[in-house]
Amino acid sequence: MTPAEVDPNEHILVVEDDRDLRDTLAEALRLEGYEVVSAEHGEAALRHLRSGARPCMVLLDLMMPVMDGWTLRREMLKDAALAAIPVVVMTAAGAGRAAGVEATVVVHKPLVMDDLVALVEAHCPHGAN
Amino acid sequence: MSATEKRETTVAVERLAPNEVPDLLDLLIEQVVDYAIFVLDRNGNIASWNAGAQRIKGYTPIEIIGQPYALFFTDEDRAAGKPAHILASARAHGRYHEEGWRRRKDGTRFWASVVMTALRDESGAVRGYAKITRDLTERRRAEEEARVAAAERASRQQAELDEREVRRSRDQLDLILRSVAEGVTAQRPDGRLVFANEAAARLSGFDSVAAMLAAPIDEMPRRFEMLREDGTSFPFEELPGRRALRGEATTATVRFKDRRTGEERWSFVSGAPVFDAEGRVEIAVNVFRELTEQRRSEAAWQFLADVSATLGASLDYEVTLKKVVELAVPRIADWCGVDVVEPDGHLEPLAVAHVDPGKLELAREWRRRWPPRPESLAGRVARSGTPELISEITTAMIEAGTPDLEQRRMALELGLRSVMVVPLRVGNETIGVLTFVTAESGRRFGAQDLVLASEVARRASLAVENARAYTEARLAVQTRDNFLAIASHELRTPLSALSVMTTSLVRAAGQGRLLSLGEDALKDRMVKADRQTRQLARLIDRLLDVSRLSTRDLRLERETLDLVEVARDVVSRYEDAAAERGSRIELKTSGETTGYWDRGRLDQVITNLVGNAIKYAPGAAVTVSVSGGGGHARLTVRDEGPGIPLEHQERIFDQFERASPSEDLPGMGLGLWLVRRIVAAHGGAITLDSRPGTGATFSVVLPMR
Repeated sequence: MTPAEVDPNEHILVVEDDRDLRDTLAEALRLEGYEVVSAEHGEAALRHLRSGARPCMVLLDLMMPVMDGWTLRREMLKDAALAAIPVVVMTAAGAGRAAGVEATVVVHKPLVMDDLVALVEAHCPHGAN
Repeated sequence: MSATEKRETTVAVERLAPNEVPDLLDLLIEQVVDYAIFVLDRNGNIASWNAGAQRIKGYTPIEIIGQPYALFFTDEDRAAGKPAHILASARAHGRYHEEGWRRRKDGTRFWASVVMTALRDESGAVRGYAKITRDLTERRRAEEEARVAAAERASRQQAELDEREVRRSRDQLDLILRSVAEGVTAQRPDGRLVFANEAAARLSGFDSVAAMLAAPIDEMPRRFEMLREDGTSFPFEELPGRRALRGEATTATVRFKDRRTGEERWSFVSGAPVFDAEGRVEIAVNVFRELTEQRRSEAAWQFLADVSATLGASLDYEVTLKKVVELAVPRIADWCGVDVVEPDGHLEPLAVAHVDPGKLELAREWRRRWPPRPESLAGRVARSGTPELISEITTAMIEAGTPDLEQRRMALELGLRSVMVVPLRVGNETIGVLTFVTAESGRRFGAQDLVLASEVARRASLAVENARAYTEARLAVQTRDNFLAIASHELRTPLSALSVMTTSLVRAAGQGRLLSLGEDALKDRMVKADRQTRQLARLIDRLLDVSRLSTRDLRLERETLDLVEVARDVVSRYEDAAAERGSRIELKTSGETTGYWDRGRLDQVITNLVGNAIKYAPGAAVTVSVSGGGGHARLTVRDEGPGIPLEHQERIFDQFERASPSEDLPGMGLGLWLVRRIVAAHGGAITLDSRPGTGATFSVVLPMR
């Protein structure tokens, strides 16, 4: 699904460079009843956000090519329209590296689906029901 | 006259007519001149006198008859009552005999043999005394002379004996003084030497005792600069020998520095005065003991102890070796340098120390301008691993060893005296050399010094070995920690996908929504899960491979193969992945490309390089070229992607380094490290040529065999 096909304000943005994990997250969240837009790096995500999209939350990986998670987060904070969007950082690096990013929550890989669902439920209107 | 004499006389005159005998006897008595024969009356007065008496005693009969016979005695004998005593003795025993001094009329003394016989009548009453005196003066003189002569002879013999004894003990003392290790001299108050033993001459730098005794008084201060232990000047008049001349007994440690050669000797000197009967200094005795060797030995032990302490203080072997060099100067050498053997075999100066800080820069410049050449002493020791000593550096040696004229001029100017070079050996490998040089001090290295230097090198080598082992161990621990961090990081992402997917399906099943997904969607998820599981397994295999290679040597399984075949396999495997990312791979070949290599490992090399190119340069063209010739095969993998920033290029072949994070392929930053190890194990080399914006080219050159 491309960004243009979803409701610009009722979706979750998944930013993850690993294709398998990215696809799996998108499918799992859709199965839970959410709209999902996915991006393979920070630059693609930023393009989507600057096009006017306002996701209810961003699931953000840190280490990515082209534009990493830290950079994307800094760009979002610079833009008043984007700064308030809840961001869940997903990291495989140690807690020390994730400390450098301002996030709503940091979750550590390997990810636990039940935790993700709880986070999403707290920030996004439930699409499935 | 005794009875026996009377009988003999009687016999002698028996042949005469009986009436003739008394007359003859009278004549005999009267005319005998060798004996004084006379008679004393009962009171000791002289009653008769013969010619002999007159001759011996000097009195005429008229003068003496009637006089007491005590006149013949010396004053002392008279005073002692000797005349009466003799009469009494003759009376009591019939006869008295003695030898003793008597007096002549003129007062002179003579040595007399005297026999006094009491003359008795038929009734036994003493009527008078017969006295016979003989002058024994001549005999006595002869005897006396003989005695004196004998005594003189005896005394002369004794004197000779005494003299021989004195000479013998003086020779012994001389021998002792000559053979002692201590230098002994005796000096007169005017400073003139009157005695010196061999040791004194040798220690003072004279060829012989005679030369020392003949030298002018100021020869010693002219030859030597005298220093106290602390290196300050020792005033000449304060030396123990000079003070001894002033009556003081003192001792001191004195450093004698040869003004000509700069050589220095340490002595323990004691000076003591010998006084004459009037209490004036007659002679000053100087004893000096050589301390140089003892000092050197002490310094050597102290140096070794300091070196050992230093060696334990740091695990950085360069720091350690620099310290050793500094410690060696000035105690062991005037210069000390350490050179390390570089991987290509040449010697690289690491540190140098010089006794004179002013010359340190000169020493450094020397080493910079003329680093040790393979044919130099240091180069030879580095190659052979055998210590070398040149006790005495000759001008000819310097000329032979310095083809550069400027270097020769400097070498001659520096006054190099002695040199030794010892290898630093770790295991069977020579990792460097220590060079010790003397110049200013004038000291010459000997076998003992070489033993010391070798011991220093042995300890330093051991420290280097320990430091290396420690560094390696630390690196291994660090590698393992990095490995675990990267490994866990790399495993977390595929594990996340697998976990999210299965949990998601479990949740859907729990909510009764699983079947609503439809068979195709479910199958798609199962295929992905299967792929992710296999990817995890592959990842674990690679991690184990890398882990093994980090700690062990890479073993190759060589076979004869064509590198083009291996490259073609890899390219065909990647064609789909490349196309998916908008890239295309091209393979170019030329020349003979068959060699004796490990197929599996070379597959890994090409897989890594091609995988990286596709990963980091999506959408760009990738060209793999394989060519051969001149005993080598060359493989290049070129992409036209964004290129690799310069700051990453330097470390890109290190373990756990990567230019940027991975995407599809699990990149642990181990790929290029592994590639380099495999290429090196084949005896080849890998290089990277890249500038940001113009792509990257990795080139591998492999020897055919």
